Formats: sequence, structure tokens, C-alpha cells
Amino acid sequence: MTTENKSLMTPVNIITGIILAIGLVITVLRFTKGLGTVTNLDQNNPWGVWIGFDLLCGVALAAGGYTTSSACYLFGMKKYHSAVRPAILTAFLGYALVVFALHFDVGRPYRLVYPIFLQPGTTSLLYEVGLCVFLYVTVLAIEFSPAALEWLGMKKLRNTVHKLTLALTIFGVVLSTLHQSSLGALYIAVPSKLHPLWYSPYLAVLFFVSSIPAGLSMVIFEGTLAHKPWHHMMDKTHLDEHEGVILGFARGASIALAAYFCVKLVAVAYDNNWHYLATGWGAWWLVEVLGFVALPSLLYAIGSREKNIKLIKWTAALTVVGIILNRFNVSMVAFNWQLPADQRYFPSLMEIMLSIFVVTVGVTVYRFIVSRMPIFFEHPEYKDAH
Amino acid sequence: MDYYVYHDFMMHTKSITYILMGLFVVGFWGIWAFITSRDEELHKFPEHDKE
Repeated sequence: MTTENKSLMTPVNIITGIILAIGLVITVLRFTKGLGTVTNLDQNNPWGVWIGFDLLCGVALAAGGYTTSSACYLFGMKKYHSAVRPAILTAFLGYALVVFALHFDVGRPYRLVYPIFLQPGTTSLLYEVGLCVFLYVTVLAIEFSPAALEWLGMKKLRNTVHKLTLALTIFGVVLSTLHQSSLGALYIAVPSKLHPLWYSPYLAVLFFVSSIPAGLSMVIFEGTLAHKPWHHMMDKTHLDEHEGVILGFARGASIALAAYFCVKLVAVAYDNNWHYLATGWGAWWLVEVLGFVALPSLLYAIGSREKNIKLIKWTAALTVVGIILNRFNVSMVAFNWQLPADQRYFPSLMEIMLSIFVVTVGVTVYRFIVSRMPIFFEHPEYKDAH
Repeated sequence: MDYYVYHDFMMHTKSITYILMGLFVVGFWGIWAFITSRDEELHKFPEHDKE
């Protein structure tokens, strides 16, 4: 009894427990007292950090699922196979947490079925995003299920689900293309509220193109974080392929970031917004585009050329920060930019704590799964079944 | 710069966009050449791989 209790009382577990307890208190407050008690949201700023971070960043950073599985199964790059399961797991948890976090913002979770089955608003972009996320979470759950079924020893069902891999990958890419772009397209409706440097008719393209390096970088970043604590869970194939995955993904991310940089410039040229670059907002835009798009693209190129794994890993972290910065800029910083400072939105402490709670729930479930299921290793009974 | 009609505005922004697209094509060629340059070196000197 004492041994088991001691192993559970680690610093990480204690911090996790404290965050989860605080999150549960805020959850009770949110659903009993309403949004006004826990958030700084108002009529000018109806979407805050729960949408900007939990939803926009969550979806963008979960793009590793469709990028990795399409590289492996659609483009035949089997050398990235060992990265597919960790990427699918991260994507599945990412999207599941998006739905989980959305409940806090929307409220009344028991009405979740309404927009899909009872009152579909087929002319609304939000409906399209909701439908895509609903379908994609289902696709990711099925894509992830072979790992859980192998762990549970349900061989027959696992083999049946495994046969669906290619169809699910194609469906996943189609759905990702749709909703990654639609999240950007939501902001096309607010040309007078979003600063011209971030507003563009190309917002849908910008969100979709930026999701590709975001997903690739997240696979590298998450792989780096997981390498130390779960090194003992990784089999020889995973460890041997790890460097190749990093170098290949760095090359892809470099090109994708360069493409994203080009679309960003075209977006400014299209509306002739060059004069804004000489303002304070322009300086902030340049920080985002030069520091977190152009620089990572260059560093990835140098890293993959020189085979500098350490540089690539740091660049992946820089890119992830850059994507978060972009989504924050679009949804909060450059949103309502013309309002006086006292009417601008800044998240409350409870909003920030709840976002940390959501991330902690994801990390806890991730830890539970990778410590038990065949994510970083191939199950001995299915070694040749891929 | 003043634009008297929408056509002027479109001519101006589209012209700049076309110039940018030309620069991007050259830029992408440069990035690709930079990233793959070591691959070509290895291809040219296969004995380099053996070291």
C-alpha cells in the first residue's frame, strides 16, 4: 500500500491535482453563477481566451494528426509510421478538449446535439465548423481505437477497424481542410473590428496554410517532450525512426512556413495595407511575421540541411508559440483595436486558470494512455500488421 | 496614392501582387536549393556517406 501511495505523490501529480481541483471549482461557478462571474466577456468581446486559446490554438496545434497520417498513408512515406500513433493521439485529445472547453463558453451541454441533429443552421460557418469537428473527433476516435483495442486484447475488432485506416485518413484530410479554413473564415464577418493587418479576405487560406507547420511542429515538439519520461516505453523502431521524422518534418515545416509567409504578404498587398506597417500595430505584425514565421522557416531550413536536431527542436517550440501568437492576435489583441483601452478585453484570472485546467486534463489523459497502450511501441502481436 | 476609381486601386494592388508572386517563385527555388544542397553533395560524392 505504501509503495503505491508513494509513487503517486510525485511533484507533477501534486501540481496536477491542485490545478484539477481549482478547475473543478471554476467549473461549478461557471455552470451555477454564469459567464459573468468567471469571465471578463461583454457585449463588445463575446469571445475571449476560451475561444482564442482552447479552440483556435487547440485545433491548429492538433493538425499533426492529418499531416502525419496523410504523409504516411496517402503519400506512402512509411518512414514516418512510428510518428502516426503519437500524432493521432495528440490530435484526438486536442479535438476532444476543444469540444470539452467549448461547453464552458456555450453552456448548457445537454443541448450539444441541437446544432447537428435538431436545428442545423446550414448557411452558418459556425455550423460547418461544428459539423466538421463532430465528424473529425469521431474519425480520430476510430483512428486511435486500434491502440486501445490492442491494449484490451480485442483482436477481431481491432483488425476490422484497422482495415478502415486509408478511408479514415482521406476523410480526415477533407474534414481538416474544411474546418481549419472555416475557423479563419469566421473572422471575415468582422472587417470593422479586426485590424486591417490581420483582417483579410484570405483569412481562411491563412488559417489552413498555417495549420500545416503548426501540426508538423507540434509532432516534433510533443515527441521531444515525450522522449525523456517515456523513453523506456519506446521500441527500437520508434527510436531509430525518431531522427528521420524530425528531419523530414522540419523540411516540410520550412516550406509550409515559407508559403504561409508569402500568403501573409499577399494579404497585405491585396488590400494595400502597407502604410499600417509604419504604425505600432505594424511593428507588432512584423514581430509576428518576421520573428515567428520567417525566422522559424529559415531555422528549420538550416536545421534540416545541417541535420541539427537540437536547432530543429527549439524551432518547433518557436513555431508553436508563433501559431498561438497569431491566433491570439486575430481573436483578441487586434480584435476591437479601435476601442478605448478601458473597453478592451483582457482575460480574468479564472478564465486563464480554466484554460490551464483544460490543458492539464489533456496532459493527464495523455500520460495515462501512453503509459499503458502501444503508442510509442508496436504491440508484440501486431508487429507485421501495419 | 489617390485612387479615383476602383479600377485604379485594383490595378495598383494586383500589379504589386504579381511582382510579389514572381519574387516568391525565385525565393522558393532558393529555399529548395538551400535545403537540398547537402543531399546533392552526398549524391555527388557517395564515398562521403561511408565515412
